[in-house]
This record gives sequence, structure tokens and C-alpha cells, in this order.
Amino acid sequence: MGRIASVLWPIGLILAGLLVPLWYGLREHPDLAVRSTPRRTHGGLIGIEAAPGQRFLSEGPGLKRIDVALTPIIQFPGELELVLRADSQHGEVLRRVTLLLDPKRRPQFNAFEFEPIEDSTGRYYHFEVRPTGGDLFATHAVWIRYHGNAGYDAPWGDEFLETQTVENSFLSPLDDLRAVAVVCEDLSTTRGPVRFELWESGESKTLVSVDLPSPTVIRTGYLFFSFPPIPNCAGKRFSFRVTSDGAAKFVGRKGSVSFKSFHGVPGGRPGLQGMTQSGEPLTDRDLVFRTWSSKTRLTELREAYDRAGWKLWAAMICWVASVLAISRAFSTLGIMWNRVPVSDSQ
Amino acid sequence: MAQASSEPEGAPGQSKSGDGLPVWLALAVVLHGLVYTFIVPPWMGEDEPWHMEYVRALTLSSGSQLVVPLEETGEEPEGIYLSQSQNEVQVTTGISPSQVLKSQAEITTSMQAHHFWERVDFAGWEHGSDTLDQAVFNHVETYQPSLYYRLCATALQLLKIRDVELQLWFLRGLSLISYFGIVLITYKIGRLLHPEQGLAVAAALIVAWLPMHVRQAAVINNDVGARIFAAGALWYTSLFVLERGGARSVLAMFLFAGLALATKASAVGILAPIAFGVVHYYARGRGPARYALITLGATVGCLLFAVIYWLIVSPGEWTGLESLVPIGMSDLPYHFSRVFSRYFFLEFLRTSVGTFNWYTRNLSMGLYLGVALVLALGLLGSLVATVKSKSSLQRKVLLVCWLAVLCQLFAMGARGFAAGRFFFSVLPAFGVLVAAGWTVPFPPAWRDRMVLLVATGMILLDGFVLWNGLFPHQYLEWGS
Repeated sequence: MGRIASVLWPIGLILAGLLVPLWYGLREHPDLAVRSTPRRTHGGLIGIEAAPGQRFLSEGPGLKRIDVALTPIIQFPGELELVLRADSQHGEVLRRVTLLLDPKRRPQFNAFEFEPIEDSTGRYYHFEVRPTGGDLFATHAVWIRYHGNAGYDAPWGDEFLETQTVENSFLSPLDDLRAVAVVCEDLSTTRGPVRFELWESGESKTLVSVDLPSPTVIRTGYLFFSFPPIPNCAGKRFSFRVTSDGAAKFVGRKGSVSFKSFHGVPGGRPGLQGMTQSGEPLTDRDLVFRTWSSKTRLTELREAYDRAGWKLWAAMICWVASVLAISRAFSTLGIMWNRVPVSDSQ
Repeated sequence: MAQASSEPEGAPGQSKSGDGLPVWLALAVVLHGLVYTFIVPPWMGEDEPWHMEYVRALTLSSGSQLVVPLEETGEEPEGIYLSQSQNEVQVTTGISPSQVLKSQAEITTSMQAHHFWERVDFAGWEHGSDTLDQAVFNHVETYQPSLYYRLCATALQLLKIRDVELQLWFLRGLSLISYFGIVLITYKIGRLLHPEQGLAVAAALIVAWLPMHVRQAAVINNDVGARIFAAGALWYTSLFVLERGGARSVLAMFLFAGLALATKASAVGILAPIAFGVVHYYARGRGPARYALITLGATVGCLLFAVIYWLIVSPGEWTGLESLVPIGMSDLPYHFSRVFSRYFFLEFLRTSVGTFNWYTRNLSMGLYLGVALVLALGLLGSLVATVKSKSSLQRKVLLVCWLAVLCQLFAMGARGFAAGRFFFSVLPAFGVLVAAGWTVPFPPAWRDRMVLLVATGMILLDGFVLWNGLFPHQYLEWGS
């Protein structure tokens, strides 16, 4: 009996301590997971005129769920529809899912689940979130991950800037300045053009001039002005001006507009094709979202092996060997069912 | 226990086998440390890139250049701008701005190759200029006392290891050795405490199989240095209170305590048992004059060492005290009010039991609370054993362990830090206490089973945290 128990003990441990946890560890994981921690910029109220969307490549079969990170702007219950299309924003509508939103509940991600799309591996899709029931705006906003590191931050202020021109300046903490996101209370390019200009403080030459594409509609969110990265700019002071000619109302503090600077160069995972708004591609940013397909545990294990390589097997072998060594140690020391009195002077 | 009966009768804790870890158990510990060496990806120890940066900067500042500065390659640009954190590294270590940038570029290139940005949720955008500010803005480790980093830098210089990844694996190897040393010391303290080997084995298993502790066998961090020195101090303090080892023990106790505190102030928990040992020694009227002088001399020497080290050798490192010593007395009420908060308790639990990807992802609360309950029952049992100790139990050693644990918890509360890694400085003491609690109060006939139960519990906990937590979070759940 003792001998059997001493054999069963390590086998039981390997089963319960390695195989069972590993089985549950290989549960489904998202194919794509755009994160932004902490979440920095949202796109403002989701509007019917400028519904935000995202194009992506499905990496697994049976695409069945898309999670979108949302934040409530208006503290009322609302409803949102996700429209999934094949290939791009102009493709065939494949799925429509409606989700009730409770402003009191703020999950990390809002899950839109739908009937799995069987042969989704390696195909491009596009989804869009929009208000339902003929509402012009939803109660929530999408979180946006811009392709850059957040640099200078002039926090969201407490006053509306009614002037046609807003300005601010900042010391660039990082190289490769490539965007400035200003806080906008209300903007519509149908009311007039919006222009952004940036220059090095103390210099007269304008480095960057960006005209906002039309149509752009923002309600209580961040408006991005994106431009080619400015190299070796860390430690330099920049000023910028936004001229809206009545098309926009900005948010700021003490007369200066609130904004964040972003730094870096273009890049990213090939499967992410960028955000869209009003059907226009915005490839320098993504929605904060996740996609889920119906991958098997074996597929997950293969993926883990692709990433970990031989070290995964080495770790498993060492773990099993360590359990066997303990078992042997216990037998030798007499701490086992089959007691073997021996001298403990190893 | 079987071998208990085979041991010669004698004074408690004086068994002949107290000097070494049994071979099979030692093998199991090494194999288990290797598991984490293999499974924890490069740069996934908390703040590991910055610890490495500090080590590399010291290899440069001492003249043996393991990173060739841009001046020598003819690529030195004029008017280099350094961020606040880069400037801190440059000022503290005295290396050139181009060396700071080059070293950071080598580290970030390796971090990109090992998918750091996919794993750490709060890391920024990886594409652009190669600086550590990209990963976490404005972070440095050069405010830490430099002893650990100087030791690592010296080893790298002696072996002339230049490649950043080889440097990483070599320093992680030192952490693995340190882990083994801590487990060995725990076992030895367990042997001092009780003649039955089972208690020592259980204590070693608790320390060796606690997931977050063994994970530190696989990372570069000055906590690793502080822990091995603190463990040494604890071992010699235990010998001192049992009046063994003579003057050598006393000197070693102070030496290890000084090294631990000079490595990181988070090793402060060892001071209480040392103070107890000294008071106990003279209270018993044991002290010949020469011992008194040795003790006094060692105490003063230890203090002088710490002061000289912090003030002269590392003049910019006063803030190194920040890890556990309260900076201002006015902060104390606030910090202690936090100790009894739910946040503090849960933070302590999750960072002691299992949290992943730079503390950004957790396991279920039920698991944390379950583990806390089991360990708390162990401490309760240990309390019972302390109060109702029989002749076979060395109550003084138990008291040393209690003092270390309580002093460390008090210090953590005073400083307002709940991170489990700070507590690990006295983990050998904690392991011995819990092991005693789960074995000594039970009848001798049950103790084998209790050791088996402890081993089974620790192995299952480790397996669950490793294969259901660490593994999927490191290799499956990647950000895009």
C-alpha cells in the first residue's frame, strides 16, 4: 500500500499541479488585444454622422466576439449597435449586434457577441459602433490608442474657449513628436475649415500645418492633429495654434487649450489596419478593442510554443523532475508512506 | 517521524545533519528555480530593464567599458539632450550622455526582440527613438543604494561579458544561486529549531515553492541581494541566541546585517532579532569582556559602514532609504491608517502569492484569500507551539523568527508599502514559523503526514499559479 501511494503521490501532483492548470490556462485568449493603460484619449460621443470603426485581420477561425472599450460621457442608459462588415467599411454587412449600456457599470470592455463566422482565419473585417433608434449621438465614447507615447499633458480643463483661435505651448519631453490631440467640446467641419499650425517657440517658421479633413465631427472628445514625426525634438519648446473660424469650441484652462502630445514613429501589428471615422481611414490610431475566435486548446498550445520555443518544454520537464525529486527526497528521508528509516546525514 | 527515532538523543537542534540540504531536496529546489528561469521571459521582472541599466552604467563608470561610447565610434552628435531620468543616470554614475543613450538603445532593442510591449499593459509605444522612457516614462533605479549593482557590475567586468542578453542571463543566474542559498538557510534554521527533519523540509518547501518568491530567482533586482544577505544575518542571529559559533557568528551576523541594509533598506526586519540576541546574551550574564567588546565594535562598525557608504561612497543615494524607512514622522499616521485598509491587505496578498506582467494581471481573489487563510493558520499553530513549547523545540529560534516577521511587517506599515517582495527579506523566518505551525502542535505520529500535506499544498499552489497564471499571461495573452 505504501509503495503504491508513494508512486501515486507524484503522479497525482503532476496531474493536478501541471496538466489540470495547463488545461485551464489554455482557455480562449483574444486574437487581437489593443490596450491603452491608462486610457488616455477618447473620441467623444459616438455620433451617427461620424461613427467610429476599426479594420482588422482575423487571426483565428470562428470569429465570434468583439470587445470594445467604452466610457460613458452622458450619465444615462444607452444603446449601441455594432455593425460587422467583410473586408472594409464598404463591405457586405455580416452581423449586427445591439448592446444596452449602463453608465453605472464600467467594464474594461463591452462585449458584442454574435454567431461565429466559420472561415474567418486570415480575412479582413471592419466593425463600426453607432447609436440606435435614430439618435444623433450615443451616451458613450470609444477609447482610442494613438500610435505614439504620450508626452506632454495639459489636463482636461474646466472652461469652454469660445475664441476662434486657441493656442498653447509645451516642452517636448520625447523625440519624434508626431501628433497633438486637443480637447474639443463641439466641432463640425461643415461649419468651416479647421487648421492646426505648430512651430518651435521663438522661431517664426511654421514646422507643421494641418487642415482637418471634412467631414469631421467631434462632441466632447479628443481631436487629433497628426503629422510626420519631428526627429531630435526632445527638450525643444513648441507652440501651436488651432484656427477654427467658428467651426469648433475647445476646452481648456486659464485661456489655454487642453491637449496631449504624442511621440513615436509609425509601426504596429500588421493585423491592425487602423481606425475609421465617417468611412475615412485613420491609420495612425486604433480603437481599444479585442477580438475573439473559436480556437482550440491545441491551437493555443501551438501558439504558446511558437512564442516560448524550447524553453516551454524545458520548464515543464524541470517542473516534473522537481516533483519527482521531492518524492524521492521524501522516500529517502522517510517522509513518505513507505517509510525507509535511513540516516539523515546526506 | 522515521528519522527522528534514528537520531541520537541530545540537545535539541544539535542533530548531526543540520549542515546541509538533503541531496534530492536540493536537486528539486534547483530544478524548480530553473523552471522559472526558463518560463519568465527576459525583462519581465519588475523594473528589470532599469536595474540592468544601473549595472551597465556602473561597468562604464569604473573604466572598463562594456558599452563603447559614441565618441569613439565617431557618431557622437552635438548637444545631446537627456531626459530627466537619463540625466539622473548620467549624474549618478558619471558616464557620458552618449553612453547613457547607447546603453538604453541596446536594452530597448532586446526588449523589443522579446516582446516586452506585447506583455506589459501600461508600456507605451515601442516604435521610435530607443530609450527606456518609451516603456515607462521618467523611471530610474539609480536612487537605490549601489552595493548590489556594484557587485553585479564587478562580476560582469571580471568575466568581460559585453552582450546585453548574456549579461541578463548571467545576472539571472546569480539570482538563481541566491534563491538556492535562501532555501538552504531556511532549512538550516528549521534544523536549529527542531530535531525532526520534517519541519526543516516543510520550511524549505514553503520558501522554495512560494510562486512570487521563486519567480525572483529568475529576475534581476536588488531585492535579491538584500534577501540573501538578510537570510545570512537571520541564520547567524539564530546561532547567536543559541550561543553557538562563538565570535565568528557574532561578526558574521553583523556583517550580513550590514550588507543587507546597505543593499536595500527593506531588509530592516533583521534588526529586531539582532537586538533581541544582544540583549538576551548580556541579560544572561554570559558576556566575557572580550565578547562585549566584539559586539560593541561590530555594532559601531556596522553603523559606520552604513553611514560612510550612504554618505561618501554613494552621496546621491539618500533616497535609497525610501524603500522602507519612514521619511517623515508626519507620514506615519497616514501610513498606518492604510495598513488596516482592504487595499493594503489585498495588495500584499496578490504581490506575495501571484501577479503577472509587471503586477498588471491577477488571479482570483478566492485563491489569494485561501492561501492567506492557510498561512495564517500556520502562524496560529506556530503561536501555539511558541507558548506550549516542549523541550524539543528551540523557543529562542522561534522568537527570533517572530521578531523578524513582526519587525518587517511593522516597517512595511510605517513606510506604507504593501509589496510582497519587501516582506521576502524575512521569508526564511516566515517559512519556519508556518512550517512549525503546521507540524509541531500535532502528535508525532501525524507529523509526517503534515509535512506531506504542506508539500502537496505548496506544489499545487505553485502549479496553479505557474501554469494557469504566469504561463498564459506571458505567452498567450499578448497586447497588439
